[in-house]
Amino acid sequence: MITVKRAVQGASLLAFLGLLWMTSFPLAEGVSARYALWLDPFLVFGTDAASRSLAVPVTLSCLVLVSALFLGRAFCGHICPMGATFDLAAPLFGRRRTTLAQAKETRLKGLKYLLLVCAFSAACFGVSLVFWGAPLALVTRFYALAIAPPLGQSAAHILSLARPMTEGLGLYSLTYAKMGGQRFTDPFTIAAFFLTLFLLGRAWPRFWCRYLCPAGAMLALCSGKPLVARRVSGACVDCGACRRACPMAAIAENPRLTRTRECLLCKACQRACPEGAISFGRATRPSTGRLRDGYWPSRRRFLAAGSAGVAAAALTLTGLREGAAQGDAIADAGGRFAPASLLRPPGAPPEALFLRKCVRCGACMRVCPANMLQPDFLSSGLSGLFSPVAVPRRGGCQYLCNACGQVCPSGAIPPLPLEEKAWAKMGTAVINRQKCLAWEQEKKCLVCDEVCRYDALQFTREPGLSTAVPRVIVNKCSGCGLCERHCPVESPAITVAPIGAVRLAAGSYSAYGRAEGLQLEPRRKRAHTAPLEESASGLPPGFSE
Amino acid sequence: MKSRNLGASFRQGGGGLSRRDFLSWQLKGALFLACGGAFPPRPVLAEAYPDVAVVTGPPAGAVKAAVDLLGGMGRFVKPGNRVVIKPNFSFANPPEAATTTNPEVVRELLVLCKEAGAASVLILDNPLNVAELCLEQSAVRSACDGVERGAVQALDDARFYRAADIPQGASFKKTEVMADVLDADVLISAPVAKSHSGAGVSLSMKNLMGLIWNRGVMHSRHDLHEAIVDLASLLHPALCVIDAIRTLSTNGPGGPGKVIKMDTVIASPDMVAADAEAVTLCEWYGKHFEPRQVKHIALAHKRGLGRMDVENLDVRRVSL
Repeated sequence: MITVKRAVQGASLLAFLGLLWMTSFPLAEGVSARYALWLDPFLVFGTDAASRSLAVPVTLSCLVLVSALFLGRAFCGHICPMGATFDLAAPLFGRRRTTLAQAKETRLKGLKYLLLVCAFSAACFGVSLVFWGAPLALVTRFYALAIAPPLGQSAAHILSLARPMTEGLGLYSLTYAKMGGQRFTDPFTIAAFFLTLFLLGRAWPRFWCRYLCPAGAMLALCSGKPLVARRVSGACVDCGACRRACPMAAIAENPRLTRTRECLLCKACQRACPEGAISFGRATRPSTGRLRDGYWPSRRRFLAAGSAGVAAAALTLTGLREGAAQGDAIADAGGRFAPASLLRPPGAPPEALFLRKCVRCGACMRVCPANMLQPDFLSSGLSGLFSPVAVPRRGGCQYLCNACGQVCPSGAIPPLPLEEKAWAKMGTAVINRQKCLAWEQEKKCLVCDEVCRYDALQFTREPGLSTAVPRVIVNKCSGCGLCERHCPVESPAITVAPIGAVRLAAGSYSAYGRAEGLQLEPRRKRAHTAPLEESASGLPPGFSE
Repeated sequence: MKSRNLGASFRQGGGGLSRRDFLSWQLKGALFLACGGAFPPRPVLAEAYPDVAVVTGPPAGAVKAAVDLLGGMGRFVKPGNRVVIKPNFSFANPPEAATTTNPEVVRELLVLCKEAGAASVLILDNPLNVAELCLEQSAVRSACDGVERGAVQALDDARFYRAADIPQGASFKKTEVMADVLDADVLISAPVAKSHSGAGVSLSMKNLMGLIWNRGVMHSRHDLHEAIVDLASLLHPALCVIDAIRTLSTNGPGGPGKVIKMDTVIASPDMVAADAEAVTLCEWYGKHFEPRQVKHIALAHKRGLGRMDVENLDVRRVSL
């Protein structure tokens, strides 16, 4: 049955997926999923609190919170794509008949408030736990990293099968459609997380929204006395059908009473009522009975949750890998380190600040045309879970692309113009001479130089070697990784390490780079007649006697 | 290079009208192949035409004049043929950098092929940089979209490639080639003339590396020059049109390097002769070289894939 709720929810989910679809290179006028991410009050306020800035614009999420004053948690029931995903999955996974005992269950409902308190107390110490719980970030990551690649691959396969037809009809755009090119590390964890919630949803529909969602908790805090609410007329016969139907267990044992902080305004109860006793509209007494307690955690529990947040922050700040502060002199002196392979996207601020700002939504990974940005899985510790790392072997950072910064909802990757982004050195290429075809096998391989946009490879003659061999000019290397991507050795002989990565909390990358003696100007012309490196016989590269 | 399976198509016959139409369309293509594609005009006719045409002038005019000197596009492309043009748009640079083929050159080739009655013309490359950026920066797509929208494609997905043996390969014997190229009747190599740090020059033969999926092995497992010749023995373009409107004289293939404006187009059905002529004609690192000084050209000559002794060939030079 098509209800208003389903229509609105479907349209919202489609709008969200549309924004996510548009979060691909090249970006159309900067339209991307970040507009959806900005709706999430927990994401916005949690990140801003942890990073002590207004890194994430607050307007949209404030509107969402204000909407709760009037409509309660209608956002959760109608707009939130995470909620829509659960509603979409429900028929696929089935729903066990809700017993009246389950409908009464309220104990766990306080959990979401405790999680909220925990996250904000950690944020007070500059540690962001937002990525564990922000629904918009979770759902963006889910669709972008776990759903889109298999769907894209399937579409590509179907297009291959349909090729005789599309070709015959001259449909170039279908025949050669770019589909399924993206791959991501460890999609299983993300999928398993959602699968667990879907399975829990069999017994407790919208398990996440009921018990866990911190953004839902923020909305619930504003939903004590909404303007629009459920109303029950005198026709009610106490049959309990509404209580069984309610996906949120928002109806009390006395079915005339509604827990407005839980009610999604989905009207499932209205449809279930055999007497037509339920309506939704302006809350009026006595038809709207509100039940405001029964699930509010005790003060002791709040204190415990706050302490848990402080403990999480303490462990994060004192771990070896956790929040390793690359490029942050004071923190580095504290003995923390980043793993040798941890490259961050171009322009990412110092690691500690980066981890505070990054909400792990995966938008940067989705948009990266080289598929270079990948979700980190534990190499930077639990606090870096799912944060973007650059994997040059998969693809090199493109000189003419700054899309990751354009789509980042929280400024963890700043929106640098191309001229500035060129100076955001990600690391330095290092040659492993034992693997290099030129150094070790004296083969005339110059692929690293061929693809380098920064003229950072120099070929020199070495005594005892018949071929010219590559060396990296450190101050010309941007760490883009194109050399690593294209190195023909199976285990690349040239790899990018986070050496000399420039990561600024504020200020201009180009000004910093120039002051540090880097040479990363876009489109720098090199001296016209200077050959790359003449051979002993005076011949230019590739020519013979 | 033709692999359309007619037998299979007939066995499936007897379906609805659309399928019948489709089959008859396929049959027509096969007939055209039987008439022309299978017997490309070779020695007898070639006597009448020069071996190499070198034309100086504006890009489109020079391409047309050069192809006309060789007997016109009709000599290479028969009505109903499926044509693949392989320009170089492997780098995300503007045409002025001379690292990618001049868009007007490519556009004119497309026009000529369509005028010759080609059933389809595809303009393909497997670029080194992100496809979208290469297509946009090189301006090849925008130039050709006006003639036929969608004809220019950067194939950066393995699903567009098919395994192929290289029967004449000396060391490089197996690779994965764009299916469109394997299924094409006519391949036209349209490189920009540029220096190449590994191969010396990047011309008609080196250009063919952009038609395979894994070109890394040509560096790592084989001698690059030998692998280029092996690949050329398989793909063997019917026509080569080298864009020397601007040449990248130094620091190829990626540049930036010295760009020399020569306003010249070199065309030949002989890929070795075309490359040899370009090596002789253009300046490389401030000097002039002989074709034999580029190992893959000398090797290709030795293996009979064409002739590098341009001094003994009929090279027709025209200035517009």
